[in-house]
Amino acid sequence: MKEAQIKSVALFFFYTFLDKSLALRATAESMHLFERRLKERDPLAPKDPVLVYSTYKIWKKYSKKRSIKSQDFPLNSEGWIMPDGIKMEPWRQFVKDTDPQIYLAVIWSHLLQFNDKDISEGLGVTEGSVRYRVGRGLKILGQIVSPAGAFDAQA
Amino acid sequence: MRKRNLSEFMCIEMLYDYKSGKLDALRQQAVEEGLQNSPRVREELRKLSIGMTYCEKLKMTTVTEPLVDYIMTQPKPTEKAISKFKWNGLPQPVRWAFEAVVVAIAISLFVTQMPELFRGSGKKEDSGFVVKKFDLKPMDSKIDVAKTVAKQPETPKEAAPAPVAGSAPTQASTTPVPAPAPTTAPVQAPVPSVVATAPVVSPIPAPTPAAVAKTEEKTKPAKKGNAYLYRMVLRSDNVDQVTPSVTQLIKSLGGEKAGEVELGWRRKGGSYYHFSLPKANNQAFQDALKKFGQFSIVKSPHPRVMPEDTERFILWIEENKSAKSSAASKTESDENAQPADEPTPSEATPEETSGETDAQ
Repeated sequence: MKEAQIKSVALFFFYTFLDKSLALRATAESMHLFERRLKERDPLAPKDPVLVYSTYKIWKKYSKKRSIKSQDFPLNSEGWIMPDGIKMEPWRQFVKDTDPQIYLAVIWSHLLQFNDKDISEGLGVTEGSVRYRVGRGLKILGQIVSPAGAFDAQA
Repeated sequence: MRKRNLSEFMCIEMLYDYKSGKLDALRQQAVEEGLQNSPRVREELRKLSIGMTYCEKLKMTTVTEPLVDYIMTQPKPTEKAISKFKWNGLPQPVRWAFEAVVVAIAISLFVTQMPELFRGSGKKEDSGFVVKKFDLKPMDSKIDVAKTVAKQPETPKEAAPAPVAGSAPTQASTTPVPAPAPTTAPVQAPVPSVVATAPVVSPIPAPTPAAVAKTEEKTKPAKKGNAYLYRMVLRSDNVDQVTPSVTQLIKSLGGEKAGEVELGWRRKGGSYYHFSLPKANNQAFQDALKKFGQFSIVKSPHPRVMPEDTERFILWIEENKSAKSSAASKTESDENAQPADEPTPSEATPEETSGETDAQ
């Protein structure tokens, strides 16, 4: 597995769960699923749809386990380093209030930079659906961010 | 090209594609017009832009190298499970419970499946008859049948002293039929007089287990064939003379003994034949047999199936009784309360008995 793929998966679960310990466990499991699925596919086929599929499967599994007590984070380092000048509260609210299908689409499309075709193939939906979800998610996120003043879009 | 006019709703819905630059020129122009005309569309575009800018900043989040290394070195779930499962590390009650469950499953499987296996290899025949294992009980019935034979009026019992005759029937009956059970051997010993007066009988091979198995094999019928036999009773004035001639006749017509005993097995009161004959020679045999005396023939069904071109016969040549002897025999038979000409070959022969046993 490539380091870039691990980083993408780790970021995905960090953005979705906002829990480092849970994100770490989910990332490890998702990478095992990703490897298993890759063995079943054509090696020349694009891997991003498989990554979308794996992350979505494990996300569904862990989202049901959210009530489980989170373990202590096993690493001394932070694991995820946030950029300066950004607040996480709008994102936290966005994840909390929005339909998961919408915020997951925003993560894959705008945070992990997967193209719409790979996302739609991994989820088994049309590209139009993906674009609709992303657009709707960005508007919701912008509405959350703007009154809070977490980030000045005009700047 | 005709100019497109988009509603406010359509403009709002197309804003993301407009911002991403995925709209064609006509739609892009229509959306721009909508942006100029509608403040609501402009507000929606502002939200979208803020959201996209926030995401641009958020995606700058980085993952540290230790985290990547940690994930790469994580064991697979199966490896994790195996490493956690240590048999010796389990508590003793858990191990006992596990062993008990395994043993219980094994026993239940054995109990439920093994009878099926035995049944599957059972000896159920195509004819619907189940060939059972030979047991010794039918041999007792042979002795009983032989008892009846011994009580016939023609038996040399008339010449034997009364006390011996009174106590001997059971003992005498055992003489011609060598029973396999050792218990009958001492019974034979105290009756030398009966044995001496009885006609010399060729020794009959006892139905050994091998013979029984052979009989069982024979009873496995072919699907096609003759499932019947002919029972014949020939009355003759002189059985001793007729017996060799009939034997010769059967052999000349291609007959072969079908049971364990020789053709023309001499018994008290007659001779016994159990043989198979080619079907084509049946009529010739019956015609030839008429020379030796009157006979009756009955075709009766039998579970043992013969090949298509072969038929099975049981022939009993019986002494033709004179009026005088029959009167005497009648007196004696009244005393014994047994019908004189009751014994039929089918009842008195080991082959028949075993055959009927097979048929059960």
